[in-house]
Order: sequence, then structure tokens, then C-alpha cells
Amino acid sequence: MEKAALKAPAYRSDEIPDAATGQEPFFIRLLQQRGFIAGVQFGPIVFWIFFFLLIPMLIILFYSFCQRGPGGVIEHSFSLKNYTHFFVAPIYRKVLIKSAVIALEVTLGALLVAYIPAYYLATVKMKNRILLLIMLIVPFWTSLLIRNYSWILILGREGIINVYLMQWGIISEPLQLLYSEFAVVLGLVHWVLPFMIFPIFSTVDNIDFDLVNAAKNLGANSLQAFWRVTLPLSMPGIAGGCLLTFILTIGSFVTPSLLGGPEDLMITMVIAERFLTLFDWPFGSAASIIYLAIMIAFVLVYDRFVGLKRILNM
Amino acid sequence: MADLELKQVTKQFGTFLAVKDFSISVEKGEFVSFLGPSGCGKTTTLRMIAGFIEPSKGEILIRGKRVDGVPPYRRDAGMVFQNYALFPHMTVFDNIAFGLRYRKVPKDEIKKRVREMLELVRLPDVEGRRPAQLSGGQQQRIALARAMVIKPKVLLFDEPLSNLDAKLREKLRVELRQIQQEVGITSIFVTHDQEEALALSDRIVVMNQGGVTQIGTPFEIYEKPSTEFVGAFIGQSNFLNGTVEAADRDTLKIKLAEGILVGAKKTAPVDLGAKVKVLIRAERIDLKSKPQATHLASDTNVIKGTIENWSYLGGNVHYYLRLENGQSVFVIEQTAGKTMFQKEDAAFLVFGFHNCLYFPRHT
Repeated sequence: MEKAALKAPAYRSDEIPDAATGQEPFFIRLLQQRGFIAGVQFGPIVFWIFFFLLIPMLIILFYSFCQRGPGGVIEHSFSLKNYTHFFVAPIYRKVLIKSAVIALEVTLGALLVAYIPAYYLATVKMKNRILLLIMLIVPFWTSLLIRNYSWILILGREGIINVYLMQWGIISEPLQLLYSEFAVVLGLVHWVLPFMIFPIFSTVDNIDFDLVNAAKNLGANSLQAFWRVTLPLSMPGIAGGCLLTFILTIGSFVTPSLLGGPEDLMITMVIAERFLTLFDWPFGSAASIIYLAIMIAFVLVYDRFVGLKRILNM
Repeated sequence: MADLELKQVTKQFGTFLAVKDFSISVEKGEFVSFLGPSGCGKTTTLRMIAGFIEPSKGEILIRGKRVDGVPPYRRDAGMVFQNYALFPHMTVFDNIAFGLRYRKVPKDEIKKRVREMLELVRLPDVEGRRPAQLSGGQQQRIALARAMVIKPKVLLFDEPLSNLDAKLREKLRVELRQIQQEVGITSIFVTHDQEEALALSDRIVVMNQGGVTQIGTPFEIYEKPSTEFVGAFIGQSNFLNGTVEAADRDTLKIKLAEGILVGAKKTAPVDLGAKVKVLIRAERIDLKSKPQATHLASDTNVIKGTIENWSYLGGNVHYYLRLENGQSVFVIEQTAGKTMFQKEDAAFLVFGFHNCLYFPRHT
């Protein structure tokens, strides 16, 4: 990428000399400055990463070693107390495991729900495909809050599911659907669906359909051909979609807060509570750092066993 | 009984007639090519035999058993694809063994048969490799082995050599023919490459716009094209417009523009004064610097022309001539033992009556 950037001046000076003065126009001279091109291309990225990622991360890291003073004041005294507390108190371990379990459930659920539409999108005629893609994307322009509230309307005690099930006499008491792990998983699956559908769609779309034909030609029926050829070849998309989904859901905050019950605490909610309710910035920072470290470790392990290169090459 | 039989097979996609009334009967061990320009329906026909596409009308029979409507995995028609279609996530061994595993062949025998196939396609040492580690030519041989190991009743080839470079294509063509004859398997070969079709086939089916134009041996197709299309599609030919001037029992005299007469062997009944198109193969014309014979005597044409241009291609030379009536003629001459003509040279085109074919002309 860097090489391309350095070659970037599209006009050579001998091609467009300024007719009147014989001098090259100003902007061409500017474009020929190596530093200028590199600066324009990488400057904003470097600026962004530095000021909006690196610096805040360092501040959080710094806070994580401080202590909460009276009234939420940050006392600049170095100590590892926040970290030890996180690992000693069983509640945080429990919350971490709960977060991972919910994220895993969501990933599996989303995979089951997403594969068929992704496969269908990849095999449907080009003309219909664009329409279907639009239908898939447009609902996600709606605010996440509104989509979550709509689940409240559907799942609540007075929600349409309970109302109709009672009206038809299938149940006599309203079911406790809302404020449960089920509701959280449902809401999260709904949210992450496109992140699962698109990677799978793009891998399945790249599978040469003659491979499936070849399998059938050799004696595999449609199901066997799918199992031996299409599914293994869509693994990179599945692996990519699962990684995205898992990372997004384990760090989700809005949906579990709105749809979950008191038992469905996720790590992000604990961190947010520390910062916003208890004004314990140092502990919140330490929890954030631990969470980040765990996620990085997770991605490294995932890479080790699944191979991110393969996913990114899809 | 014929190994493969197509009876008035027709395929319609919406309003587009892709294949119409295709009928042929292929004998056991025969090698038949479907030859035609792209979009002529040859691949569609092949895919109907394989079962990937169902015909709109007509019957397909493999060894006397109707297979239209039967799913592809129960047809026993092995296929070799243009892009090889090897399973990228499996080794060469697993690719070849794929079909055997669905035929409940015991493990030991699978091993034995895969090895035999690899020997047959002359790639005995690659069974542990992935397709991506093989060259295009090797991949296509593996694809051939994979299609043949299931002992299919017919072998279908969908332009299998067109992704290879010219030298390799010819080498593999020879090998393919050898293997096919060794095994004696009935084969259908789709190609748009006339040379491939001529070199490989027992019979060629020339197709155009969904229809069968001519079915015949390579010799028949080249020497006796049934239509102007076949004559133009195969070989390098000159077409000259003319009208029938005189006819006797065996020969015709055809008048070209400005009254130049050419003699042709009579191959089909034709009326005096009928408009015809004369076909003369470029390599069947001899160029002489002096007229050594009389025009129209002893069934030979001798027509004067001028060299307008030429291109030297090593083994042969292409000459572009203009006749005295202004019509252009293209001639291919071997270079061996001949002095080359230069631009503006006068040359006499010498060709026998039998090398002069004619087709009715409507414009």
C-alpha cells in the first residue's frame, strides 16, 4: 500500500507543463512531494488512532492503577488493588462467564438464523439480489433503541405474544418472556444478524457452483453435496461472522440493559455502573483493561485455531 | 444399443430457444464433439445430458434407459468441467475417491482404483496434494481421473482444454484421445475450437443458434460442409458470389463478377441462373507464376490475380490477392521449396473443380 502511495502522482511533469510560463502548475508540484501524498493518505488515520484510541487507552490504563477517593475523586496513588479485587470478588468472574455464555448463545443462534438467508442471497438471481440486500439493510437504519423497544412490545406481559396465546386459550397466565436471558439473546441475534449474514453471503457467493454440480455428477445428492462441498467451503465466512458476532455481543450494553432481567448482567453493564453510578473510575478502568486483555487473548487464540488470514482472504 | 441417445431434445429459457430438436445416437466407445460458436447451445445440451438442466421437450436415453427427469447423481455420466471444478478443500486422493464413496466401494478397492486412475492419467505421485498445488494441465488430468474412476456410462467434457495454453492444450489433446481409446469410453466433447474437434472426434456435431447444422466425421464436415455456415465456421475459406452459367452431368460453370467463370464439381442439383456462393478453401489453391494449364480444361481452374499483400508465418505464407474482377481471395501456401511472391506480382490461382463448393444464395 505504501508503494502505491509513493507512486501516486498521476501526472508527470513532462506531460503537463504550464503553457504560459513553462513551469509546472502548483498542484502538480505539490503532488510530486512524496511527503505531501503520504501525509494526505495516512495523516488522518494516524491522527485518529493517536488522539481517539491511543491517548484515551493510556489514560484509562493510568486510572486503573489509581484509587477512588471520597466523592469519586481520583487519587493518584499507584496500586494494583483494583486488579486484585476484580479477580478476588466472585461476582466479576460470574459476570464474565455469563457474558461469554450469552455471546456464545447469540453466535450460535445468529449462525442458525443467518445461514439460510445468506445462502439464498448468494444463489438467487442477480436482479432479485439487490432488492433482498436492501430489504436486509434498511431495517438496520432504525435506531437500536427502537428495535429493542419493539421487542418489549412483542414479548412483554401485555405484548402481542402473550395477548394472543391467552386469547386462544393456549396459556392462562402470561409467560415471562421479557427481562430474561431469552429476550436478551433474541434481541442480540436480531441486532447482529447482518454481521453474520454478510460474511457468509460473500463466501458462498464466491463458491464456484460447478463444484456443487461436480459433486452431484459424482453421485452425491443435494444434501450430501451441501455437506461435503458447500458447507466446508463456506467455513471462512462462518468463522468470520462468528468472530464478529461474538465480539460485538460480548461487548453489548443497550440490549441486555433493556431486555435483560437482574440476573442477566453483562461485563459492560458492570463497567458502566462503576463509571456512571458509583463514580469509581479507577475500578471501572481496571475492569475495562481486563476485559480488553481477555478479548485480545481470545482473538489471538481464535487466530491460532481458525486462522484470521484465511477469513480475511475470503 | 446406442450408449447415448437424444431424441428431439429442446430447451427453452423464457422466450429464448437455446436448443431445438437435437437428435443424435452415439455408439459405444464413440467420441463425439459438439462444435459451434459461443451461445450455440452446445454447453446447454451437455448439461442436459449431465442432468444439471432439464430439457423442455424430448428424451435423453443412456444405454436405453430414459434419464431426463432423473437427478444428476443417478445418471452415471461423468463430467469434466472447463474450470476443472476440483474440490479445493480436499486432497487429490479425496477428490478422485469422492464418487467411489457414494458407490459404497470398500476402502481397499477405493485405494486401488484411485491409484490405477492416477497411473492412467500419468500422475502417480500427487495423491497427497491439494488441487491448488498442481498446474492447470495436472488439475485437468485429475479432473479426468475423478470423472473416469466411477466408470460412468458416458463421459462428458465441457471445453476441458480451453483454460490451458496452446502447447499444453495440444499435448493434453493427444493424451486425452489415447486414454479415451484405451478405456473405450463413450465421450461427448463440447468445444468451440475446430482443430480440437477435428483432431479428437469420431463424429462432429456442428451447432448454430440452438440447432444441429451437420453431423458427420471430421472428413465429411471439412470436405462436404452441408451449409455455408459449416463451411465458414470450419477452416479458412474464400466465399465468392456468382450465378450458375452452365451445367452438365458432373460439372457446373459458375459466373463470378465481370464474367469470370469457375468450374465446380456438381454435388447437388441446381438450376441454371441460380444465385450461388462459391467456397474455396484457402489452402487448396496453388499459386503459380505462369499458367501451366488452360483454364477450365481437365477439371482445373486457372485464374489470374495480383498479390496485394502477404504475411510470412514460418511454415506457411498467407497471400491476399485481388482477381481481375476486383474480388479478394485469400491463399495459404506452404513455404517449403517455393519462391515467395512479392507485392504486385501476378499469380495464377490453380484449383481443381472438386475444391470448389457452392451453396445457394438468397441475397
